[in-house]
Amino acid sequence: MRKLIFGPFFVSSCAPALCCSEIVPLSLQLEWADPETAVSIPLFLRRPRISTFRVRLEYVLFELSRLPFDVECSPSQIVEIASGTFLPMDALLKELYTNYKVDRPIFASLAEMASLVPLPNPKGHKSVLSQLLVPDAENRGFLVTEVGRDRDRIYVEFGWRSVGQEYVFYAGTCAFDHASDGKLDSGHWIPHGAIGVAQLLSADLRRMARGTPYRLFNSGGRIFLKEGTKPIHLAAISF
Amino acid sequence: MNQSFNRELAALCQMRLTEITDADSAALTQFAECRLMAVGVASSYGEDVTQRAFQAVLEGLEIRRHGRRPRLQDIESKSAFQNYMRGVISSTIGVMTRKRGFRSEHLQWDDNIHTMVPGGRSPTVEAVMRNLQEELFPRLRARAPRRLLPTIAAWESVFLYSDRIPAIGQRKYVREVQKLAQEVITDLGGLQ
Repeated sequence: MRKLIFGPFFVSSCAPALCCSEIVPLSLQLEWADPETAVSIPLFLRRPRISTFRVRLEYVLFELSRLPFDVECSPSQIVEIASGTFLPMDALLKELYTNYKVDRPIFASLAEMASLVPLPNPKGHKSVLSQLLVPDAENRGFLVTEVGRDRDRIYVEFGWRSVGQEYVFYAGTCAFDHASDGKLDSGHWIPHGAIGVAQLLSADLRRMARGTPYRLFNSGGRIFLKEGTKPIHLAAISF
Repeated sequence: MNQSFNRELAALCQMRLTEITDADSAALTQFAECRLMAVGVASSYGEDVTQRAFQAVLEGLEIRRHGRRPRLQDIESKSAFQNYMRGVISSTIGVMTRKRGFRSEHLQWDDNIHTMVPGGRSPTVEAVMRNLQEELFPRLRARAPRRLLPTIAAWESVFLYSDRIPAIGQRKYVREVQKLAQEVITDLGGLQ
């Protein structure tokens, strides 16, 4: 595995405007270097097609023509305009940290990006649920962002955010099932449905959980799981 | 389907859309959030997905525009229409979990490359598969118990590119979905 000797860093830059109102330059580029090459990739922001959509990490894009290595992403995140094809930086960052040995923690890169790019809280007005996880996880910035229930299954969604910042990065989902005696099992991780840094954050969470998601919760969190989960979502919907 | 029938259908669909209250919309968003959590995508997309689903149906009302066009039985009652909207939401979420690869020399490679049908397909076969997809999945969802919906959504997302049903949750769900699909295809008159 190749090692980065620099970066990745988000660096201010001047980028010419595109003749497309859907995509605007961020005046920011992502830079890194390995012993052989230095790479700098200008970043762009996709404006939501529907005005009520919130701008998200996946809306930060780069041009396909600057692609430094193979990436995979969701087709729904690809933007094709007359001047070219744009892919999500989320997928690029994930591949960078997967294919290279990177000394700079992903948390530092994401905190830097969140401080430079105006991303609002993707949950909008909804508040996150703090102080449910073990201190190790909470201190690293992990928190519970959503809890949903579908019959006997409880879904718990995790997020990560840097100190003092509003934007919460999605960090994965786990599920707990009720056994026949009514007790919750120790939980399992839901495979990621989309490619991005969430996979890196989730790997850190899994390491802390040492196998089972239940271990991520402190005593208050465990009581919350058993008693405080709201019976919502699919349970209320008939087919 | 002639154009006048289209207009009647569109008018009925428009009426169903106006019947959707804020509470109905919130329930659909909750449905979307739970579906997103089940497939490992951030639930914060729930509102966006619901709006996209409504937008797709609105676009379908316009002649010569892409979008979703419900069948008569999908709009014969408000509850049928809500069920249809849940199907559109599930399908929209299925699209979000697809993967497309790009090589650094800028050549796009095939989606879901590990299960790609060798040799690709002719445009005719491709069109047949797309038709089958449109016919099969709404019927499959209508018949399936709730526990099979994640597996069906995952299958729909790779249907055009793979001959396998991805295992989401328990592996026995794949067999159950296969069995249901065979029943649906039999009802459709078999594979042409």
